[in-house]
Amino acid sequence: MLRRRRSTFVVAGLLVMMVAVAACNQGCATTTTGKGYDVIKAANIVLDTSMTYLGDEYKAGRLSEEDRATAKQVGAQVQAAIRTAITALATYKRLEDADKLAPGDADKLKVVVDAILSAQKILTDYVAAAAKAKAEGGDG
Amino acid sequence: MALDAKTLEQVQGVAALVTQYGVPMVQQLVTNIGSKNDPTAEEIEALADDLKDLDSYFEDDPAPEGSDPA
Repeated sequence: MLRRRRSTFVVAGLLVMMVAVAACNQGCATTTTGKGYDVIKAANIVLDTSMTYLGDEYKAGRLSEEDRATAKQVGAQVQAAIRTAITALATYKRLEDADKLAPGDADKLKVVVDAILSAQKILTDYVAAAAKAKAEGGDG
Repeated sequence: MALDAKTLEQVQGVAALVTQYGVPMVQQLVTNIGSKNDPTAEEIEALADDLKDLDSYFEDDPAPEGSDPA
């Protein structure tokens, strides 16, 4: 029962973070770079929390090698999206500082940053599925 | 902000779970976002330092039967 509660807690935390990130994408920080920074920073936390949880489950023998490979694959997708967004945002910031932004640059940046949310959704769905499978099959 | 049906369902589920299990962890997660309204390019690039090697999350695996720690 304790394991089930922990799983639920982790998944709940991740979902709340996802919603917070989605909300922040529309209005926590007020600048474009500030919003992008918040999304990336939060995505890092979601990724770290998710992978820590999955790693703990694996080390406890509750995830198979196949699960580990899938978790790493999904985690790598999120990392790739985060790295791309970091590069895009830093470039955007430098152009902004040099007053060389072109019309539409902010929209392009948003597409890149939104890709994090899509990748992250796959990861959180995977964590939720893993936790659900464990709760259904691991209480005995 | 418009929420699609699935997100709304998740929010409702989360609200129920937060009520049931408490909010400190959730508050900490949100607080840890560490919002910056006007980050520098260097601060943005520093976010990459937070990304860990994915293998590290799975290290210290249970030693396989008969393995020699050497």
